[in-house]
Amino acid sequence: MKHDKICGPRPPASPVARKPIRAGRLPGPRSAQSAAGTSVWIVIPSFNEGPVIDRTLASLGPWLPNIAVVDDGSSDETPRLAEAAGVHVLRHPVNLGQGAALGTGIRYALLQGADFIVTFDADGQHRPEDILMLLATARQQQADVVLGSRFLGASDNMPQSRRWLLRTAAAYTRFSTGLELTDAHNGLRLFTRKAAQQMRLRQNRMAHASEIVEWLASSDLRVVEAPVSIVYTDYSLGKGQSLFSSFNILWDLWSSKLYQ
Amino acid sequence: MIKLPLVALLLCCALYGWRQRALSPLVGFLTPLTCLIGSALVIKPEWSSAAAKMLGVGRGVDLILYIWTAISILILANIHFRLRAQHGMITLLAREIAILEARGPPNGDQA
Repeated sequence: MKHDKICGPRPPASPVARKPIRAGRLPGPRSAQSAAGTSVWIVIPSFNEGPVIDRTLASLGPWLPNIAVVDDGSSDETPRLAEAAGVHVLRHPVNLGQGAALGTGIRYALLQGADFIVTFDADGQHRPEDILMLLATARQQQADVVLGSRFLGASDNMPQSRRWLLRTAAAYTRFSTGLELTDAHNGLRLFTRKAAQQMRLRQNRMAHASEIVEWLASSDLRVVEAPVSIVYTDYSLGKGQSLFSSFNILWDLWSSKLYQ
Repeated sequence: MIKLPLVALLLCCALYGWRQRALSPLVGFLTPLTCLIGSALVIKPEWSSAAAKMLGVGRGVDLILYIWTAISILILANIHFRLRAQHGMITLLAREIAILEARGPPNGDQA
């Protein structure tokens, strides 16, 4: 574990550390080479992302070959396009859900010796340069987990209904976990190796985002929010979550507490 | 004589529910409890009328219907939880297959 080498000695735990700390924008451009000496892996869950996956992977060129695309049983050309892009491709034999795909990708990245694991959506709504922001934040704030927040950063073309839904979800998360998060369902996150090794995802589908936050709230890991940008397109909005999905998420979360 | 097979059936349901307590404590305790109450009402039908009157349900037969509905919902919940648990096992299997069959870049670059 190279955590100490990167971040320096961990500060003594304090009650304040349990609350996410919002990172500021870092001045000046930084390159992927700044990650030299550490192993950074990008995990991309994907399901029928054929129309955009090649563009998304092309934008992540500086991170090659440490990109793991987890194809979650797509019926289109997603896995073939990912292989052609020169990344690591893992295929679920059946569709299991985004949470399951993330779990597979994170496990694979750990087996490859990753020091930092960044989760990144396949639909092209994240900006590759924000990965550097997450890494810099993890180092500067000595964080175990950095969660991207579109409400601290920017969100282009976000519909008002989506904004309302996400704000409500963040408020619910604050209420249910005590973590002062501004954005609870952002797919752009960074986990140190230590954090990734502790993570046990049970929620296969979209409830995994809330499950991650609940787990973080109950752990002793240092959690930080960092500003990131989300670019909404017709495509990403079509793949996004609806109001009805939020009921499914709540049902999955609550019902999972009733069985072991 | 219908009481005997009915009570036997309810006791089987109670046993089934009790055996599920490792998977879901809620189902494991509520199902036997509900089944035992149901058995008592089958053996002593007059209790159902008294209990219904006390609970404000109306007739005793209505109370039995409600209890049967509760048993059905608990058994459905248990089937749901069992499916979820099996789905979790399928996920682990699919994950292992995906990792074993992972394809790296053609030039074999690794981290």
